[in-house]
Amino acid sequence: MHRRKKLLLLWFFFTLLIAISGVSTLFLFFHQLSPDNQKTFIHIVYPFRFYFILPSLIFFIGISYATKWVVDSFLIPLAQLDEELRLLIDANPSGRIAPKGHPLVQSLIHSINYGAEKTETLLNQVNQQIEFAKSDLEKENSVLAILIEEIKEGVIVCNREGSILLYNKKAHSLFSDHAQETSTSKSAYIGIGRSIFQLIESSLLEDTIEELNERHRNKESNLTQHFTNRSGNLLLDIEVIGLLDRKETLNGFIFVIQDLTANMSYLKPFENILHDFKEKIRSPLANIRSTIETLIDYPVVSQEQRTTFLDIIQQQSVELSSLLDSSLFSSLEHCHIASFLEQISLSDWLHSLQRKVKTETGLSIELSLNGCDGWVNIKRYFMSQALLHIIARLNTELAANSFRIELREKGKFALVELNWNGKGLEPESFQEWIVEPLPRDSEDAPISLSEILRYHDAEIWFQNDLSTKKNYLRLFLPKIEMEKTPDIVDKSVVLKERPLFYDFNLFDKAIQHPELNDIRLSEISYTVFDTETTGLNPSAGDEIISIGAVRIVNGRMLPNEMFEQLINPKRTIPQASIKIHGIHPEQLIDQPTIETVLPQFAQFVDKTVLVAHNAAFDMKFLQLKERDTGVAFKNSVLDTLMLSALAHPYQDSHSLDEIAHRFNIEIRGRHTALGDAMVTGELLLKLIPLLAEKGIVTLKQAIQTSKKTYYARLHY
Amino acid sequence: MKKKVLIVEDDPVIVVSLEFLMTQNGFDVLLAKNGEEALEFANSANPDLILMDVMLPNKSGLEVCQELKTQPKYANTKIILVSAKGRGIDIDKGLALGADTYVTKPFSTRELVRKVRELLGEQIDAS
Repeated sequence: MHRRKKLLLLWFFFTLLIAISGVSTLFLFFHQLSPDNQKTFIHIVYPFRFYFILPSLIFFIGISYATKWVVDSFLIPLAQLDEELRLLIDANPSGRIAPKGHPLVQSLIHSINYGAEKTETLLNQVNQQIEFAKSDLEKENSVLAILIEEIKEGVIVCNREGSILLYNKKAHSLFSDHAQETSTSKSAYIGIGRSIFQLIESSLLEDTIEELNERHRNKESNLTQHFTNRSGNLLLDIEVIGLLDRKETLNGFIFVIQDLTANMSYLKPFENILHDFKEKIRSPLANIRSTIETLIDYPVVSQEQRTTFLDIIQQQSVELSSLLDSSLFSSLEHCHIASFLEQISLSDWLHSLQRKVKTETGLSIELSLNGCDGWVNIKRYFMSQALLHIIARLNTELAANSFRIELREKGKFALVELNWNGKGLEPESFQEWIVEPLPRDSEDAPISLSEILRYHDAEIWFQNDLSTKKNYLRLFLPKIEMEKTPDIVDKSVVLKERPLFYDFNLFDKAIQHPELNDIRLSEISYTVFDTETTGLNPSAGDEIISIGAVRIVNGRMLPNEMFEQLINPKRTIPQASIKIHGIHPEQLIDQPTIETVLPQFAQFVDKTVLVAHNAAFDMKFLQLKERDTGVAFKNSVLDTLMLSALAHPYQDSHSLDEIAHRFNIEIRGRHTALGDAMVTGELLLKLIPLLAEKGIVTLKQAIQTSKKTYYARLHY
Repeated sequence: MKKKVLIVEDDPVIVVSLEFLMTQNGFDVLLAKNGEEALEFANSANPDLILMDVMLPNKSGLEVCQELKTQPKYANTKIILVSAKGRGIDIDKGLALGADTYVTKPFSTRELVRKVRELLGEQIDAS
């Protein structure tokens, strides 16, 4: 029972006791008298009964109000003060307690607030000094973090048991982005504390690790091993390096991962040769085929026509035969430009081109990017050299000195339009320019614009517009799809600290044992989640329309290990619910259904304890989908609503808004699934130490004690 | 009135079959050997459909396609690009620049005739 209600119930029974005591005393006294004395007593008292009853009633009411006043003015405020003081000390040093109760209690609260003010100032001073002392170390950490984050290879560090301690952005994009693309794939999520064996084919990995262990036992110095692994559509080259500590114990492994599929550009020349060959044979084949089909479909033709068709078949057959003898390998000498194609934004490339032209020719180019934000896969040096060459020729031969580059996007392609005023370009001149070798200092074979364009699958043409006297050179270039970044509905929801990709405290921890009950709450891995739904009645047809979740490992929330997905509920969405979560039906039309999303979510939360605020509500929705999706969540579940009631039983409200205010947790993205999940996660982290003070240390204790709270009665 | 088909192709061998096919199927046929001629014929004869090779000398079929499709007067002119360049990216380029369909060599003559008829809104012979 709510403790405040207990106090009030206590007051009620106290006043009832006083009333019963008074009446019992009188009754006992009367009962002691002899029958004659009883009659006398009644005879004397009865006429004056109002003089007894009225004061007694006044006395009773007075005592009742007095005790209620004591409870309201002292007991309840002091009980609340006790909780709020602990909150102030442990979880929210900037908070202040609202004065309440009797002026004496209020005065005490003012003194406490004054003390808190002083303490906070002192703490801030100490923190500033600590920050100052840490700044050099922070700088080093930042450089290391940038280094790890920005290198092109994926990097994963794990301990001996395969628990991931560190991974960089590239590793995340290779595994996690791919995992979310397919619902039936067995690819798992990458994350701190998760197992490397879920990401990479187990038998291959085990064999590699065993090989490295064996070498270490034999005191061999080479603790590196390579293998390739297919992960869905990706072909990965993985180098495994044994990690030794100062005592030369093998206590972990570094995985350096290269995406061979995305980096196959060194095969481009061979690709081009193959395409050249295919293109060259297509025309003779087409001619033969069309001629034969024409003869079949139109058998009645003149003799002259028939002869023409037969000659065509013969000539084209000869041409086809001659192709088999030709050498198509001359283009191999340009292998060097096909390697190291860079992914670059069009905006960045054109700005760098603008600078290059200015530096090398003194000419200015006006850029008009039209808000385009596409990316291309090019060898920036060669493409820029090519355009620089054209611009320089236009300047020297046509006296063009005013240039403008306009960028437009046409579907999967970018159109880079170079304009200049003045004389137009002759077609013959243009043809010469695109085949002549570009001036270079390198010893590599000279290369022309047309060859550069071919390697980039680009087209170029020009147009002289006589009416506007403008001349255009148009470069048509394929764009690329950039790697997806994690979906975040409101970017401000992401925590301000640098994204957390590592936790070396996990070096010595074993992968979590399935039996979590006796593990300390502070050591468990959690998935904190929230759902947005079409309504509040899961059993009456309401459906989930959004799931948001974030992981907590080793006492820290991992802002880069999040799950967020809108879901098509295949039903209408009531206006009343739209007003709360702001998700409109048109946003859900193209979204996957719960049958697709729930298995992915189950993978994400695997081997963690689920946490939600008013978890009964969310879990009910998940449980009702077990039959349709085949997904049953066997995870243990903690409810921060109940945990808050355990930590602060005297507080009136345990709504998420109220608790967030109490703990000074900033709410971002309220009533979005991910936003609420992150607030709940921060709340859990603040509650764990408070629960520990009350003797609730392990998961088992938390679950069992939660069942005793008032909120455990909530069912949906 | 017969519909007009402009064939733009610099390979004289394939022109023989294409001209024969289009004529047999009841179209008036115009021939152009390169991109410049194609633009001239487009302007003067206003063909209903242009059957155009991509790899033309000087002005490519892609360039001609882009020039035509940026002018409103050719909005209803159908363009079929025909080419030995058969990679996905080549087809994407053609369609991105305004072609109605893209046919890769070698092609089925029946299929080509079917596409021409379909684009010109004519009844397709089921045989």
